[in-house]
Amino acid sequence: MLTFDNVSFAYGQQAVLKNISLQIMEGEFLTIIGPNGSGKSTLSKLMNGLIQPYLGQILVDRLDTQSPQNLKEIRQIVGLIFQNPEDQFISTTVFDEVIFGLENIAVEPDKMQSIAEDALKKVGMLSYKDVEPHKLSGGQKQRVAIAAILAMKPKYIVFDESTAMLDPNGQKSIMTLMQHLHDEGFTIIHITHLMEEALKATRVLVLNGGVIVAEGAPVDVFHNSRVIENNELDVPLPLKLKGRLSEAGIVVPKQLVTLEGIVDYIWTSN
Amino acid sequence: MIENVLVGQFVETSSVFHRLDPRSKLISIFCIVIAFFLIDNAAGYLLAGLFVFGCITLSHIPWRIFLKGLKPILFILSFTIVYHILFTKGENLLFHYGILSIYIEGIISGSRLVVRIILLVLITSLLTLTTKPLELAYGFEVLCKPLKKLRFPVEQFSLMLAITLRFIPTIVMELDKIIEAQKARGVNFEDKSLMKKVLSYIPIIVPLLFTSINRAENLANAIDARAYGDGSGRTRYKTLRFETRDYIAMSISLFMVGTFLILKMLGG
Repeated sequence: MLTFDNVSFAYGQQAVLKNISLQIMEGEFLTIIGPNGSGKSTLSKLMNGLIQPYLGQILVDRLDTQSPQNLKEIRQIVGLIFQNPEDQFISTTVFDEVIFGLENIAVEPDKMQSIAEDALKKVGMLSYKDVEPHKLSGGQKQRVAIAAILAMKPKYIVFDESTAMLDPNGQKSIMTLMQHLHDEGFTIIHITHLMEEALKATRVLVLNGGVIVAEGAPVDVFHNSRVIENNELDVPLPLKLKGRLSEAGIVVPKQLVTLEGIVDYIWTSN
Repeated sequence: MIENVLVGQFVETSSVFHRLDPRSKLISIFCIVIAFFLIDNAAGYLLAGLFVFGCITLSHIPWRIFLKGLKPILFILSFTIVYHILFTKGENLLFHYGILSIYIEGIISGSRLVVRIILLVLITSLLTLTTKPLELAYGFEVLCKPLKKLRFPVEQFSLMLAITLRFIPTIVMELDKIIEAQKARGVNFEDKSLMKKVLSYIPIIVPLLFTSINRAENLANAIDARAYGDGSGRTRYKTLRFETRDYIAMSISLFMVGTFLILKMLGG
């Protein structure tokens, strides 16, 4: 369990997060949304000890992120995927990139190859093993970044707007992979500003001005028009469609949130 | 533009030099450079020339690649020889006109120096042509391990080197993009006057610096997030091991130092 207990954070004089209390359970798929500057990215950096809260406490499986001797273990348990695919690629080839993390957590050298190859196979990048980063697309680089994290056997994977710089195909492929990893039992924490992506979560958290303003199942959060308006959020397309349909007298069940689901419902119901 | 950038100069062939451990190559080249500095007579130059010729032939790398490596130093070479011809005084006057007097000694000492520089450049390019930059960096790191006791950050230094190599293509692509963008905004790069030429590069350098600093910050976060820590307590995937051929290479290099030392003593 990942726990934020009354956490505040500031850059200089400017408060970014105020009294955040939050619990993330194992096996969850949590999406964090909110306008620019709401403190989303800061939240993700706090999760694996890249930055420290100035008030409050963050526990990762009971390990306090504020004690330096915990950091190596915390960073192995909580994997972080950043926004810019280019700037998180440290090594000169795909294979070396996965090896880098393994070397850091002192894995035995003769076990590294099989671990790295398994991780690359999982994200479908094994055939690119010896390729240099400048020959890969953004989506491919993000897959390698995910493989590099998977190889370190984390429990929690935090995606900090990891689809923001990708083309639609890349976005779709990373989202599918995320879903896949969640099905496999990883805890996914996804920070995004794309509302369609937020529908995939088991729980949505809306952050604005450094405080949590709403929380709940995606359908509930997006059906709350007050939350949507107050936080300048966009209603995801499937929900917009449902709204217009109900105006026309067609009521689609609440739990259907994908376009495919709605289409199926319409042509099978009478 | 990206095609013109060679990261290192590595040329893939299947020679014995490619199979040598980077550490033994570094040690050998170091010895041979010292040996070449000891040369001071014709027999020495002949022997050194034959040695370099033999090594290059064994490397299976075409001669023209080695000669290409000499191109950038052509200016220094011609300057050296002209300087020696004009300013070295000796006993055997060859030519005299006004204040200009050329001695045979000048020509000899100039050409000696030039030959020595050429031999040094050829033998050191053998190292960079047969070793991948990363291997070289790793060999360097392992050789420098003892410096850790003096608190020299050997691992961080090696990571820095690797990151530099990794980001050369990225930065070059970025540079291309910025140049295109500035051209589209009407910046003129074709101006002939030197001052204007220099000034026209400011709109390129400033954004490039800006993005690079941003990049560096993101990269530092990425390295930190992947549990690099302070670089200590890591294991390494690649391990270096000396083979028989490495001992042979290092012995030959030491033997060269000895030979040239003896030649020098005999000559002197």
